[in-house]
Parts: sequence; C-alpha cells; structure tokens
Amino acid sequence: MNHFIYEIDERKLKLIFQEMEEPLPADAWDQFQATGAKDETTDSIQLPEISLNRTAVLALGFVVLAGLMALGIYKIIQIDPTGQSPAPMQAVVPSADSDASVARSLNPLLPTHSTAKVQKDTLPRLPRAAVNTTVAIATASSQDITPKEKQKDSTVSLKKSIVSEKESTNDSVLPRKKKSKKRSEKSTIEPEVLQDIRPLPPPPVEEQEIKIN
Amino acid sequence: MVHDALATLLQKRDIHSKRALFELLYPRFAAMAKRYSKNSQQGKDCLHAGFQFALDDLHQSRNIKPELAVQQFEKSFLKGIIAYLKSIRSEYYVSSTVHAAESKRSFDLFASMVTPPDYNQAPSDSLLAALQKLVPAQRLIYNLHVIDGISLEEASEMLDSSSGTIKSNLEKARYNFQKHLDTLLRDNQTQPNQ
Repeated sequence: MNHFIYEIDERKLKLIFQEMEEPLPADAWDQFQATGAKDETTDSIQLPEISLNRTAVLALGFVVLAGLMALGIYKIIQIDPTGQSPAPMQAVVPSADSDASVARSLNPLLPTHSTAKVQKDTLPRLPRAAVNTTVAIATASSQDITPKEKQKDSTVSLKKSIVSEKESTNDSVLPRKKKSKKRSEKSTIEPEVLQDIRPLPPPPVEEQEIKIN
Repeated sequence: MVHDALATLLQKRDIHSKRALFELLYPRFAAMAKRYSKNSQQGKDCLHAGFQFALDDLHQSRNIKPELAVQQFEKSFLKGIIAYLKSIRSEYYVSSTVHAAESKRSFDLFASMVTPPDYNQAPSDSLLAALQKLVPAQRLIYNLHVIDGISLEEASEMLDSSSGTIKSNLEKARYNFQKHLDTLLRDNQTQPNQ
C-alpha cells in the first residue's frame, strides 16, 4: 500500500523563504502612493469609524422595537406617577336647590332667595309638580312688572304653590324612579293637572254571597 | 536601521519618514507579499495594502515601545495582507472548487517513481511557484505557520477560523505543496531533455 510521505524539510524551507528579498525599484514609493497611500490631509482629521455589522444592526433594531412597544403600552395604560388613587365618583342627589337652579337657568329674572328662605324642616317637601307650577307662575307674571313687584309676586306665588302642594301631596301618584325621567324633560314647563281620585264604591255584598253559594 | 526609521516615524509622522521606512522594508516585505499571493501583480497589491494597514495600525497605537515596534509592524503587515486576500471573496472562498474543476492533468502522488525528485534541493523559484499554486486559504495557513512561525491558535485568530479548519487546511496545504513541487520538478527535468 502506498502512503503519503511528507518529505519536505520545513526548517530549510523556512530559511529559504525568509532569506528571500526583492530588489527595490525606483518607482516603488510612487506606485505605493498611487495605489495604497492615503492623503496626508485626511490623516490629520481622524473621523470616528463606526463599524456596523449585521449583529449590531439587528440588536439596535430589536432595542428600538422594544422601546416603541413599551412606549405604546405606557400610553395605553396611563400609569399615574404620583401613586394617588383617583377621587371616587359622587352620586348626584336630587334636591330642591338643584330644581331651583334649573328654573333659574331657564329664566334668569327669577329671584334667587325665594326658595332659599324656605326651611325644609318646617315645610313639607315639595313634589315636582309644585315646583313646576311655581316656575310657570313666575314666568307668566315676570313680564311687565318691576323688580320689587317681582319679589312680592314671587313670595305670593310661592305661598300659593305651597297651599296647592298641600292639597296635592296625597294625590301625587308618580313613582320616585320616574322623577329622574321627568327631570330630563325640564324644557316643558307646564303645570300638571291632577285628576281627582275618588274611592270606588264597594261591591254589593249580597250578590257576591249569592254567587258563592 | 529599521528601529531608527520606525522611531523617526513615530516621532515625526511625516511623509518623508514613511518613505524611508517603506524603502527600508521593501525588499523583505515584497518577498513576503509575493509568497502570500498567487502572482507578482497580486503581490504588489498585497504589499501596498499590508504596508498601509501597518501604518494605520501604528498611528492608532500611540504608546508603543520602540523595542516591540518592529515586531508589531510586521504582524500588522501580515494582518493587512490577510485582510486584502480575504476581501477578494470570489477568490478566497470558491477558488478551491474552481481549481479542482480546472485541473487538466490528473496527478497521482503514489505512482511508482523511478527517480523521485529531491524536494529539499529544489530551487527557490520552484518553491515559490509551488507555494503560489495553493488556494488562498491553504497558502495563508502554510505561510503563517510553517514559514513565519505563527502558532496555530494565533493563526486561527488572525484568519478568523476554527482550529479544526486551520489544521485541516494546513494538512491539505502540505500535501498540495509537495504535489505541486513534484510536478514542477518533473517538468523541469523533462524540459531540458526535450
């Protein structure tokens, strides 16, 4: 069998090649300047060399993508940096003052103190219909009168409304839940005409007994 | 001489000191570039690229000791040659396949030889020609390890290759170098007879 035998003496080969020299041509430096040498002016200004290979570009792109995603998530979540919890929402409780303010907003000539002087403890609570009638009377009477007369008329009308309310407190049939719906219909300020509710006559007892028997 | 020229270049950093160093190192560096390349033209390009690389490396390293300057300059020159040869990607990475396809004559190293040539008595021209016939990857590792005496670990770092690839290329280079040298010596023996 034939085997490859490396017969070259590498030490001798090394000496031969290391002793090799090339003669220096006259235009060697000019050739080097023409092909390889850089200009001296460019050497004086050393610009920073940024080497961008594939790994660096991929890593940079990943970091930018992660940053954009984090920014988007932060904008969606809206983290409060102070750490305070938001103020709890308060339920709006309907009151007579709010009704008066609504009426005032509809007619700015209405006196402001007409409803404020009424004490809630002494007087029964006014239902919705009474307030509406008050507003209607006030709007009707406040067209051709002076402010002093307006004040007198408002007190008089308020007393009238209280009296009418006393009559109609027992007759108010509207359930409480529907009041909120009525409040939304504040634009139609018209006095309600309450119907007289009379008790039904009792059924004839004799006829029922006869039917049962 | 080289020490003084390098010291002058480190101090002045002007074009005259560069030229003095280039002309001083040219005979040796030109021979080195020639055996690292495939022909004399590529050898010139290798020389210019390697010298420029070494000059740039010297300018970047400011605090350099004069005793180590010559060794570092030579190593930078070799790195410049390697960078230049690897930059010719079409030649460096696929030339082995191309050479194998283009080989016209089949070579049988183990054929019975009546008078085997003495490789150690081969002329320097034949040695250089046999070395230049190697493919770039094999030529580089053979030059670095066998002739310039650089260790395999350092050569693998300089060539940016694994140690297994380096060893494999070195064995192939040894085989192919002897094969090319044998062919050249046989041709030289037959030509005078004709």
